[in-house]
Amino acid sequence: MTDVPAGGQGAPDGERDAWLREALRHAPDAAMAAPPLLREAILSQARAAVAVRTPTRHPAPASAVLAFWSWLARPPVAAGFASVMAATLVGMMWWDRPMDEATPPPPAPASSRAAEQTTPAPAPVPPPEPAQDELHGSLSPPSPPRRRDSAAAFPGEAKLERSAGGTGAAKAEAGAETLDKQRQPRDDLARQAPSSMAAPATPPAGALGAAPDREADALARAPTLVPVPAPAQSRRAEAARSPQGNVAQRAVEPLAPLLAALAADASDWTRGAAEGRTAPVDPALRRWLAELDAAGTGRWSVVSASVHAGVIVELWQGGRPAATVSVDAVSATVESRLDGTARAWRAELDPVTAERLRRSLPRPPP
Amino acid sequence: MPATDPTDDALMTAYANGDAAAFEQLYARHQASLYRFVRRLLGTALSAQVDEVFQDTWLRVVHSRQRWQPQGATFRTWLFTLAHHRVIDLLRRSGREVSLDAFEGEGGEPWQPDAVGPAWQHWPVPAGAAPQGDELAFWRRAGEKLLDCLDQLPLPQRSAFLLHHDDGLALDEVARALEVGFETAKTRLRYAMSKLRTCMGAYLEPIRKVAR
Repeated sequence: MTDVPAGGQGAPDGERDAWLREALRHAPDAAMAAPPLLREAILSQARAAVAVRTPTRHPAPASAVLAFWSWLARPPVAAGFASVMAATLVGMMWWDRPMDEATPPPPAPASSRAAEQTTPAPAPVPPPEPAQDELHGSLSPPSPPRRRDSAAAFPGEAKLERSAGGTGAAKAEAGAETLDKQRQPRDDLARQAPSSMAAPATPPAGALGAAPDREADALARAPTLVPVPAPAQSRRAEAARSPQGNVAQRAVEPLAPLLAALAADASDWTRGAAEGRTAPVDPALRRWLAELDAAGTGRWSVVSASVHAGVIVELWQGGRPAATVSVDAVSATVESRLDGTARAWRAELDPVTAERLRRSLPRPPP
Repeated sequence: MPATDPTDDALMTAYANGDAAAFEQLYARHQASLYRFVRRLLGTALSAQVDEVFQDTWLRVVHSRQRWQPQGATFRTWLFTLAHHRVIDLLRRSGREVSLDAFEGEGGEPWQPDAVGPAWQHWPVPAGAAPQGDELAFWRRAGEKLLDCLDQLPLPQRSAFLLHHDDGLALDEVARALEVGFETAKTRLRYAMSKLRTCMGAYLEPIRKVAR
């Protein structure tokens, strides 16, 4: 027994202790093993890991499709996929379209509804007549016949309709009545015209009703008298879509009531001429005013005092000064006293338009 | 083990290739020693978590089968390394401070095995076979006492001692399993044995004195 290694010196690596190993061998937990349930759990998981490995490593195409479909059928995945698809569809619908078209249109004001009710449906365009050339003058470039709509025949007419109904329902009703009265003579004229001209000859609005018969007839049969520049039309359309813009439009368009008054009774109006004389307001001047109105759409702003420069047109109603309109190199100024109170507006114009307006102002007859 | 039995590495390779029966053979070979190692490493305080660590260790084997390479450490060494990691994780999760310093618990100073004294001299000779009578009772008491003493060892020394004495790993394999250097493993083992001798010598009469 004395040769028994103490401290394990006889062990192969010199660190084993025979007594400690023997004690370990007889420890109470020496015979312990994992519980059978634990053993089964481990072995079943080991088998399952190997069993599912083969099909997942080389999935058949059909099973892959089924797996994808089952994954897609999960409620969270399906909801997310549906949301993405809806967003994509909406995005495709509004692709490359301006945002204002994506917004719902504002409710039509009463004046617009009244104007629509009084405006006849678009009709076939009649062939151009000599009267057209007479009215076009040097301002109107030759243009192909086009459809007549409620705002195309005369810029002031559409504005008149909006202006007449823009301040409230009462005004809208009054405007509608006025338009009905003004349309009556033209309807009579249209009925007297040949049948081929009857349908297209129906004028769109009542601004021309009080004009001289010859002019009224010519204007009624002319589908396009003064082409409104496209930007002005689009600006009007954009302003008309927005309720706020509509209100602002009515508030800063000083020429609309002036044109309406001119259309109502042109014989009561005169314009200033040389040496203190006056001259009647002719259609050419009305077209010029309408063109100025179109050029200044959306640009008018109220000014405290008016300073006129460039070409100046003074308008008199019943012998009293009613309005002064001027166009200089970069702007237009309107001073109106229609309602007894002098107010002034100014609109910035681009130099080309301003120059064109200055050159095209009809001269009063000598 | 018959000579025809496949090695652990061959069985693990077969299991990685989809042979579930190979895993069952591996489990049968090593489950007892691994379960004992985990239980003794966790000690009596964490004996309730033995099954969890044991199962987690085997599941690590299952999930790591594709990455396992037969070169380097043997499967057995790798298995005990996984178990050792799981025990450390559990101890950390349970809020216990786990130090991998071999001299942990010695106040920063290496423990000096000067307490090894004459108590060893009256211990019975380890027979190697099944002892009988008083010797068997002695070794059973010694085993119980050894488990108590093991609980008092720092984890690095305890794991080194168990791997070397209980599981039969050579010192270089112990070092590899604990992922430390050879000398570090050797130092841990030496200090663990000295502490255990001192701890048990106070209760067990040395045999050498009786032999003289």
